[in-house]
Amino acid sequence: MNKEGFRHLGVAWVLFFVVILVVAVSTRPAMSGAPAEVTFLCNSHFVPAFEREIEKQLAAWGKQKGVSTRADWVATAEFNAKLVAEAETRAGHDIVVIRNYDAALYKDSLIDMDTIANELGNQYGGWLPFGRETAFFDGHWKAIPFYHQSFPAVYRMDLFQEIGVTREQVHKMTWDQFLEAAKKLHAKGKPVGFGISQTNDSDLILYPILWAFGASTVDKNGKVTINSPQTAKAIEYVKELARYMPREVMGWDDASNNRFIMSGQGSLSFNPPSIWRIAQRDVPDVAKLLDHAPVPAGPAGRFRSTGSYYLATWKFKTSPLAADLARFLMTRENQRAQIEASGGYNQPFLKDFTTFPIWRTEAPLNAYEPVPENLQLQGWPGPPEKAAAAQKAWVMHLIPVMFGKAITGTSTQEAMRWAEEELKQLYQ
Amino acid sequence: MGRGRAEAAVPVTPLGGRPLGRPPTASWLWRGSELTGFFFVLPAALLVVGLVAYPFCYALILSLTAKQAGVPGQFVGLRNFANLFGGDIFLHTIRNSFVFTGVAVVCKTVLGLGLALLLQRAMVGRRILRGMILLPWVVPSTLSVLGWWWLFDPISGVINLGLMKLGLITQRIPWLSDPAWAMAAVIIVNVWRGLPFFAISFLAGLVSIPEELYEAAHIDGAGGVACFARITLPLLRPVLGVIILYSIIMTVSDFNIVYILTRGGPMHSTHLFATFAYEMGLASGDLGKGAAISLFIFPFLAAVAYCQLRITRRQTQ
Repeated sequence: MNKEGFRHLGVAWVLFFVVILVVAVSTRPAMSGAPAEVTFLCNSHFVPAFEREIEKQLAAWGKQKGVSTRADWVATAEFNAKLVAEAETRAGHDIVVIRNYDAALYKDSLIDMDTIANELGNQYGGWLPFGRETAFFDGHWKAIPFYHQSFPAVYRMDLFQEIGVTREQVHKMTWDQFLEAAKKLHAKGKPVGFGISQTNDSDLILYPILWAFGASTVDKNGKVTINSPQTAKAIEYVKELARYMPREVMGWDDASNNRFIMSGQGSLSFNPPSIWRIAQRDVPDVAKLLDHAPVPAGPAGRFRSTGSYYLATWKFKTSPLAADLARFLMTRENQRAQIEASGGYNQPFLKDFTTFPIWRTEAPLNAYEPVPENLQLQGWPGPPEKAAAAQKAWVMHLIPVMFGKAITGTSTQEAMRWAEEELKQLYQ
Repeated sequence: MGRGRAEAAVPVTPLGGRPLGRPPTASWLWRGSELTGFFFVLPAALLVVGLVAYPFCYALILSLTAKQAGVPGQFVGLRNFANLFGGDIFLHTIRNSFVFTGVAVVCKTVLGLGLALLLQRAMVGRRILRGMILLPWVVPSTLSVLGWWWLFDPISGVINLGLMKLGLITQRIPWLSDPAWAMAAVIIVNVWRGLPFFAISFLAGLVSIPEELYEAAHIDGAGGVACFARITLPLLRPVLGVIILYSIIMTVSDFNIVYILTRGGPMHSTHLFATFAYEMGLASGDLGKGAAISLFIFPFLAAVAYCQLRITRRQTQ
């Protein structure tokens, strides 16, 4: 190519970039002037039928309002990163489904939803207390509690009967009785098992064990209290119990307990009814032997933890229709349809909805809803202003790691001291 | 003006045809080769600024602030870096990163060299074999690591089942649930994935060594080991240096393998800088600390990159 040709090529390059720039800039106003599309972001659901139901409801609402709608489902493991990206780039969906203490973490970026939250509360018998504790910050509802999925025991009735424990006894078990049952089931080659690993499921059972022994990460004032005799007792208990669980629980992911039960290898784990629902479809012979029971009780009571989900709208997305869509998704009919589509897996935050028949008509769901245990989230009993720290402790799985360290050789005292140091970094 | 005229009388036009001492004019710029060069460099420069320099500077600024997602950050100086040492997890991460990188790079070098020597030999189907060797390198890492995750699965993993069927083990190996085994698992997958790159690069170096040198050495009575030590290794050293240094950078900043297989567990025993930065910055929303973690390794990587560039320059000279 001669000199002139090179020059023309160089100019062509620059023109190409200028065109790209012009197109990119001119597309933005064109997009904002285009027919409205209301977008909805949620993490993937373990029961796919729930996603279809939401999409159906979004389409129905969009038809009423004359707008198009779009739901985006993001894998649970990637969901936090997606929220951070939206909050930071100030661009994203009209409605986002946030989780656990996210409302505290993002409270400065979220629109207050007092009107709709109060309307719904008044209309449907009020909110469950922990719904308010996790969505009401700085005197405002930062999000609308959407649904939660708590973690009862899911167990094989036949295997427990074989060791002489009836359904009624399983439903009233203490952690001491649970340990005895675990020993017998281990001897039968059908152990109990729950994750003691860096996954959400591990937090969701290990926190209730802490609470049942009278321990907690922080007190009501947000002071770190993990280094305590009560925590030591809880750790010693789990160390003993772990001897009768598969070693692999130290590396379980959130789906491992599903495989553990459905493969027929395990006799008990802790999970919402998704294992049972999927077993009904894939391994019906196992499904008919499954039941759900309350979490065992300890010296300080019987606790259950839950994964919770909330409808929220970003301040930078001032879609006038977002609040209306949130209200639409929370009507009695739509909540009922969502819960039924999830096979009873979703649990409501509004008290009136806890009486839906799905949990009464199917025996394995009887202990699932209404929740008979003391239902709490991971930061309990810490104050609302420390909720963001509680969220980080949960995301970093500090409590499962503390138990894991103690099980794998670190002394109980050292494991507690480690957790105390890590928690102080977050709470101070 | 007079001076300009005087200079114009002397035809000194060393650079792009522009007489020295005269300011550039529009017509000169249009015709001049300097502007043409500028046009050619501009797209690459824009890409580097947009995709490398800007994110790096932004990360640097973030690391100096107490920045939570969605709210403005407060300048805290180097406090984020100092606070990292207050927690045990970060110290674990440093140790894990060096163990992971050290063991993986040594394994890839030794095995890669061995594989390259084998591939160099004349054999039936050599070309097909060379192509197949590249498969782990070209398959998308997310897919291949998911495959490994299934192989390591404690409940239905093929590796444990296979070893038990063969009678080599009686109890399942806790691949992803024991700190030492989990580290071994992520290293195995990293070596498996990186080996083809090493082997093919070394092979390229091997085939460039003149055959006459080996023939002369054989005439002088040198054996295989002596040939390898005196001819192959010295002549392969520049390639070895570049590949090893490049691999150190890629291995220490690995994310996919650890994130998919162990998510940094069990008990943070496989966290690397990238996975811990992700957990702290993106999963927890603590962007300041996340940026500090990811930048912590930067001086080390910069030094490695500098060494690599020096070797490359020496080779070209």
